[in-house]
Amino acid sequence: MANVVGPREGSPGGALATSGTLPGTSPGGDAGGSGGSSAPRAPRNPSAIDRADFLFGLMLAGLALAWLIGALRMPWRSANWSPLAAPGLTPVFLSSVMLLLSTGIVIRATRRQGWRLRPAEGWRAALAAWHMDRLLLALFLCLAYVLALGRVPYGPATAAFVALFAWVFRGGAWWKVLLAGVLTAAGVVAVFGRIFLVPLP
Amino acid sequence: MSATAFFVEFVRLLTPETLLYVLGAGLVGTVVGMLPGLTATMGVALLTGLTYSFPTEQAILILIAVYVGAITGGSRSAILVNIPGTPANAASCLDGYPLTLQGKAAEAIGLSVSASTLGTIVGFVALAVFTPILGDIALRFQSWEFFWVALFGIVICGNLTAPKDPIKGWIAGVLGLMLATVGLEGINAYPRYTLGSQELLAGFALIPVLVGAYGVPEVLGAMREAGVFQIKTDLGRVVPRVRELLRSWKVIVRSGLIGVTIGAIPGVGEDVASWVSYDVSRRTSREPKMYGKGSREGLIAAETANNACVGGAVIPVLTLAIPGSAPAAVLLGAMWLHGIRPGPLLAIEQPYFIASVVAMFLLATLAVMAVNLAGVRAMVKVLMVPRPILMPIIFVLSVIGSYAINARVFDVYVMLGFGVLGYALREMGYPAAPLVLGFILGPMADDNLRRALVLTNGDLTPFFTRPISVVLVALILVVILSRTPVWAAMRRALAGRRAEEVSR
Repeated sequence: MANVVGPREGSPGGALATSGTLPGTSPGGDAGGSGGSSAPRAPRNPSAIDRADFLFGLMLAGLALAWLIGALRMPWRSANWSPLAAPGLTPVFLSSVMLLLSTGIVIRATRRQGWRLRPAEGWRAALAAWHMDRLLLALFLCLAYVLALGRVPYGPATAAFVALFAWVFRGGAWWKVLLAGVLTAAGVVAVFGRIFLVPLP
Repeated sequence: MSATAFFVEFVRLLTPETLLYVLGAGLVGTVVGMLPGLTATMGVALLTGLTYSFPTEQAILILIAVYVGAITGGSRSAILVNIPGTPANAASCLDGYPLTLQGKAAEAIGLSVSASTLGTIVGFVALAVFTPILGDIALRFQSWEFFWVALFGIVICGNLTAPKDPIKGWIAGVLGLMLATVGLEGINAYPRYTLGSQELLAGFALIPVLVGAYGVPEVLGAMREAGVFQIKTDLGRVVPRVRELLRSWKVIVRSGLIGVTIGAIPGVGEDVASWVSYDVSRRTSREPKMYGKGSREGLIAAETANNACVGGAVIPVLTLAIPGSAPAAVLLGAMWLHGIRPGPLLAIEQPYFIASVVAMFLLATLAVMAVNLAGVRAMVKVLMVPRPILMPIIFVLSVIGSYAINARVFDVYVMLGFGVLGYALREMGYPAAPLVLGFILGPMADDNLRRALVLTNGDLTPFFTRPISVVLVALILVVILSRTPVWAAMRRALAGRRAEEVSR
């Protein structure tokens, strides 16, 4: 018998993409749609993916615009190149395509009411259902480990990271997670650092 | 590539040290593939950094063995716990797990290993036969064609990896192309988007980007949700199922060809190959009702295709320097790191390398089969390691893999940054494959667009009149138009006209 923590299905698109079972996704998106022509049409609740599309589409459009401005500010004529070989030529083309595509996403999300960013069940409930606390905790631990590299000796930093990560996410008894941390650090230093001569941070 | 060259290269690889490495790499690949959340791309990317100090041939052989091993090993968890080890094995769940529920887990694993081996052999044959042919065609490619090939790769990859919303696939691809413009550009060495940073002058390094895009999202995603499942089966002896394979030879040949063809399409990987093959097999089967209930044919179709795809994906790597799948993209990066320049001139500059890669494929296939048949019972115990212990270890290896190539902590930051970006994109339905493909093809598109314009003094006509360019432009237009409402309206109108004719 083996106990293994089960991951989510590895479908491309991930959790938000599979709207309907998602936090922040309200069932029956087209509420009021069958009320006849005279009945006032109830506002449609946007799905989590519609809201994400709206927000991320705007961010992409902003990035494309910044990229385009950066490209236009590059030198277009010099002793070494004509405008046809200018360094900004391809970025102008790419950022224009990105601007077009991201505007398309924003328009589509706007039509689906994606601009109404507040989830129907409220932010707190949406974030809780999405396990945001676990995600941020994992990210924080990874970030702390990465920032410690070069500042703290590699072996102890690695042992502490593995042990702390496993302990925080309940990977087993304290001595088990500590053992896992020490063995990982010792194994990595011995195998990669000493045998395969891979440089370690 | 002659048979003699292949034979010479194969014999040259048969040293005790190399055999030890290939068996070890096959084992590592199988374990990586088996663990849900760790993909073949992640495995190959990690090993690229870790084998950087190895001699070129041994390093490439190890990476190929890890690639084949991961795609083969991914069916273990699909069969035993109904969770695909890699996305490439998702279709194997449909019939593999029902077989386990019927108490036939060992039979299912034996069948999947045998089908995977045959699939890899089909891919190996395709690699040997088609690489020289495509290589000859690739010699006719010039700047115009290379620009269109890069664009075609993004369009088709975006289309197939985001089938429900291709615009997101295309956005991911264009984002990859844009990020590739950071750093000194290839023609005039002008620094672009470096924000004054010395470290950004060389742009983002490929391996940290790949490890980040494929590894970190898995670590974050796995830790976001808690859950427990159990393996409720006793594994018997796993043996090859020769009789059943002989009975299903048509399925194997067809699935192998599907796998190779899909593999050769830029950026479209093993997952698409296995689903397409499974679907075609179900539609043409005499027992379609058995599919999803433990059909051996279904399992064979999926596992043959995903492994055949491996060989197919390497064909454009060697001939055009365009990866056929995400793990093949890493393989391409690894070849660059080791000073090999895949592309149309590879056969001229390094005439023995293609034969050597084909020989490596055969050796890797045999090693992976041996490892998988001999050590299944021991290997499934890896599934018992709790994820909260496994995931930080994976992250530690990702850090070393990113750091090892240039010994720069900055690359580790890049890895984490791309990891967070990759996770966010994945959650919003943007696939990672076009992003990575765009990042790899970016310099090709950039340099060739400008070079072509300079050659013709700004005349755009050759982009649309050269024979190969015309074909590529037509393909790009068809792919894009096929996802627009205009196309759907045309199909409806056509169907309506046909129905009218029938009713008359």
